[in-house]
Amino acid sequence: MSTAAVSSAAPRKGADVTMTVLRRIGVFALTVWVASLVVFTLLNVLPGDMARAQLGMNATDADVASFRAEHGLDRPLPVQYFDWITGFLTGDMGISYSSRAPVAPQVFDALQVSLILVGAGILIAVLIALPLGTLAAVRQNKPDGVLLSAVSQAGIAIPNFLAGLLLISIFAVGLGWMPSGGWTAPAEGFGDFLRQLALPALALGLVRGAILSRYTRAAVLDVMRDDFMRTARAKGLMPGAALRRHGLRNALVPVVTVTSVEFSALVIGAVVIETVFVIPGLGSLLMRAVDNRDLIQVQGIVMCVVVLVLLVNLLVDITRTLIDPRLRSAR
Amino acid sequence: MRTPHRHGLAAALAVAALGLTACSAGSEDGADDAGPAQDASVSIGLAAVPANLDYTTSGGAAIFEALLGNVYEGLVQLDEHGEVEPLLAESWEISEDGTEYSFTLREDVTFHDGTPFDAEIVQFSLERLDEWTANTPDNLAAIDQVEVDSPTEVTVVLSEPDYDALYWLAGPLGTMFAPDSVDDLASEANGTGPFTFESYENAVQMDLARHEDYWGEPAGVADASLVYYEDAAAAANALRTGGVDAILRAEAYDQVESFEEEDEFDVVIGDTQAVAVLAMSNDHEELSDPEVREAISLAIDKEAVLAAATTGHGTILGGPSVPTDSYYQDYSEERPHDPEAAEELLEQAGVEDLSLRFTLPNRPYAEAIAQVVQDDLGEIGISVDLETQEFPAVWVEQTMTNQDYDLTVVSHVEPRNMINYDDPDYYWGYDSEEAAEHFAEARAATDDADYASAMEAAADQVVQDAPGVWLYNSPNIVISRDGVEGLPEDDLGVGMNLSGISVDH
Amino acid sequence: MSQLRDAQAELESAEQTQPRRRCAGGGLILTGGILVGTVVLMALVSLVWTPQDPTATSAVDRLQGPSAEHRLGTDGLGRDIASMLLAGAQIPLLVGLVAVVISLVIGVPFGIAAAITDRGAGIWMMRWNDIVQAFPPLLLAIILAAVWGGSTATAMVALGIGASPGVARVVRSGTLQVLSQEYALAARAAGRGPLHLALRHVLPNIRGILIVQATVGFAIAVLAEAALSFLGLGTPPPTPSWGRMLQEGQSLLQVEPLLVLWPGAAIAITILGFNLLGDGLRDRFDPRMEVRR
Repeated sequence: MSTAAVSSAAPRKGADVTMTVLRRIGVFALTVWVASLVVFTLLNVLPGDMARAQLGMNATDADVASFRAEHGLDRPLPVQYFDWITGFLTGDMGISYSSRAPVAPQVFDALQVSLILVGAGILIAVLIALPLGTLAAVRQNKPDGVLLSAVSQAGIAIPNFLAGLLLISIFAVGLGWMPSGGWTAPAEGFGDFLRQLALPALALGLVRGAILSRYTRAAVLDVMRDDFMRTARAKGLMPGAALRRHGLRNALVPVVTVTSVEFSALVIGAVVIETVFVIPGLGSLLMRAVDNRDLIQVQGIVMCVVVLVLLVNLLVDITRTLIDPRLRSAR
Repeated sequence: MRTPHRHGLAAALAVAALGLTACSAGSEDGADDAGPAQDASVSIGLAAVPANLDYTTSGGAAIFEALLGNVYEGLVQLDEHGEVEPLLAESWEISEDGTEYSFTLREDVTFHDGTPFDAEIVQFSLERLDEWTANTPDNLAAIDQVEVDSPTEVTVVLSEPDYDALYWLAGPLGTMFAPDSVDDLASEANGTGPFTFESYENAVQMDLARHEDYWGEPAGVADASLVYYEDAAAAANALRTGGVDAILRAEAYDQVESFEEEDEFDVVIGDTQAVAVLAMSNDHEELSDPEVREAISLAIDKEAVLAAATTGHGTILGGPSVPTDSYYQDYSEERPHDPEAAEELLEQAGVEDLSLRFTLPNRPYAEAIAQVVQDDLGEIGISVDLETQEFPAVWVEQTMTNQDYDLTVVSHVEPRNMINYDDPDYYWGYDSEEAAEHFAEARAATDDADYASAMEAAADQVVQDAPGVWLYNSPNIVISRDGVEGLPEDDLGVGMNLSGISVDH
Repeated sequence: MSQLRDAQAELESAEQTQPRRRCAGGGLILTGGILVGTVVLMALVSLVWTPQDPTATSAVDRLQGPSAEHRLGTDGLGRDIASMLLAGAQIPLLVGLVAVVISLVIGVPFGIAAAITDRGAGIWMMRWNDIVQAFPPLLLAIILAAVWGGSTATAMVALGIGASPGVARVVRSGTLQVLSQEYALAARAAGRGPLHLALRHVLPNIRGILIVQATVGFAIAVLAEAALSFLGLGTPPPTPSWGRMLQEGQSLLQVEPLLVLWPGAAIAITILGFNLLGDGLRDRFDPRMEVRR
């Protein structure tokens, strides 16, 4: 199937590209809409009455009724859905059952934290994966190349929360070099921000980096087999030099693409890492909302994650449409 | 405070430690001089997380623990020994028949937003108890009306005498609220206390600041941050790495020893009002038989429970009162661990193949208790299915409110929670005429001795009927870095007062 | 989005570029097989025998080091760690098995149907597939835990459903490949119905990628189950499970690091085993087949 993506990428005129992009955006909007129906159904139709769980045990039936009225839970489901989705589009995700505060500001604050964490995780993953993967490819049949492959294989097998626990145990509690957790916004103290970001980003990046390094290795090997590389080598260039001169840029493009696909894995990985490092991101918020059965908050967070994943996919898809790397490569 | 563990300062180590804690909130103010720093700040790690700021409608002790005594105040408060003492009321008189409480109020008190505190405020706040849905407003159900006699004089009229009334007024139920503020109770806190409420980032951190115009002794620190760690180990790690200056109500029991061994930390083990109680449903056919309940009580190894839940910290109970209660009696030898006797009792009761559903909050202590209990009951032939429920939301709904359980366990941190045995509708489902009489006597008491003896009699009756198994009273473990003084060492089940904290540098 | 997945799959298959040996992937299959076999054996043995009762608590024996009675020592409740490790293999394998079966039961018919009806409903089926794929399996599991509370059952269902879009995508492309073969075209021309095509031609020919996909899916499910149990949304007590052991050992990490390291190593070895097995099988069956990780 390796030619599937290529064959569809025949040269297009500008108008075609615009149409393609618009069509993709349209499909994105449709996808988001259906996803919102799925999220709403999961969290509103399946569970029972949430009012009792939110009010203390001294609540009377009248208290429950007024809670339901206050949160609009006494209206027909389609009305509730319409209200929620129109609100969501304008940045209003309703009022949290447990904190009694608007959901949206909490979600947006937490989202910023999570995005920084995920961004740092991607950065570390790429910084690990590019050299490691390239080296593993160039030296694929030599002992060190095999060793590198084995290391990345082992790295994939280690759960990120285990990596996080060990990092805390060694670098925070053991050696005292780093804080064991917490979060400082960059604006409030950049030094503290970096110190607190380091370990969780590492825990997140190490494992994803191991996975990414395998893709990198594959991409580099793929490029090395390409005709132009054979030619370069035939002209007497060493494999490493040939790769540096011609191949790496070509290998990078699919790796970047895969990194974006890995995005959803990183976001989900962050959920676990945030609880290990007590970071007030989307993951911590989600776990607390689940514990509190604060379904309106769960709904907002889940929808945000889903939109985010779809959005990143859309952006990468559009980018690929605009500059199809295969067309520019020497094939 | 039972077993204080204090360590002297080992200068070199402590200096090294301070060097490592450069990012702790406590050292941000830059005061390097020795002695308490007026502009110091303190950050305190806590486990239980406030869902929001409104403890009139949201359960969980975490909210009033943070706010009462710091931001909010009542007419009276509990001193360190748990005795009622004046606060916003300078003095009070109780009528002969025990139904009229006349308070004389302080004149110089205002809320943080400038609202003056007066008798109208008292009337407003206490008559508003009808609107509470959490924190057992029924404890003050005896309040019939509140009469404003003058701006500084107010009379609280009870429909019947209640010896506990002052005690409850010293707790969250007695909080004074400004009428203009009650619409935003979930997100704002406007009180008369030594700290103003600054901000609360949900489940992360609450910031309080010294109220400079406080009517009483001003707070010892300029800023106090309460940092929330749901995981006990995370809180301990934060203390070790300088993320916080102290942790209160610490649950990292396994780490207490290693903190005690380190010179740069102080460990104090104080008291709490908490009763970890295994409740047995009266609705269950077999469990409604007292012999079966007694057999279960005998089968449970309370030493093992304590070791599993708190690594042995705390007091084994056997009864519904805790050592700091005036009516405490030691029931720990009442039903010693005796599986053979338990089996015999079961046989007598003609119970075979008993299978019970044990719902438990998803908290480490409860999971530890439940697994030990499951094991112990298995030995006498009772099979137990564990069902973990998210706490508080799901456990409060299913187990406490719907009372859908056979066995359940929870550590009740609210003070004098024994009186819930006087409420047949409570999830404990205990209904005894004899006990009810004793509780009524206690309410009608006019002095401490009468009150205590009536409560003792009630406790005797409750213990005899064995509606539950009273496992242990957990300690309040306070661990702080050197130089942090005046932390509230005992948990009295009301607010934790932070105004006495001072920080050395 | 589908393009992205294709790009990823391309890389996966491009990975298998070592000089082909006669018995491709033999070493990987052997190593992976031994690791997985060990774990399966642990689970099977623990069904009939463990050194001690893995749920038996004992206050006096808590946090003990290795001894003749407790080969690997005891945990915070005085339970035998060796026995818990053995019995703890059951849940990850069970969750993995059920999740993989669910993902196949949903994904295979879906993928084949989407391929057979390619130009019509197939497009819309794959759009739906993309939507489901926007819900990562772990997120789905957390949603179900929010609704019903966390349990082994919700974990299995969520992980299975969450993995099904990946299966469907792989099956679809495999099916398209088969359908372009002459025998399939001939069968179509002979007027054979879609069910005949699917059962007689497609399924036997995508067997290989299904086995590979299932193996890799196993690794993902084991990891996700561990994460869920670690978050407290997976297997509840007292059932021993590696993820739970990790979560319970977390608070004791400073006191007894082995309580974390043992289950951590067990999880890592299981995932490593399934991954190696998957890689080896992929080499064996068809190096250029699309497989999604």
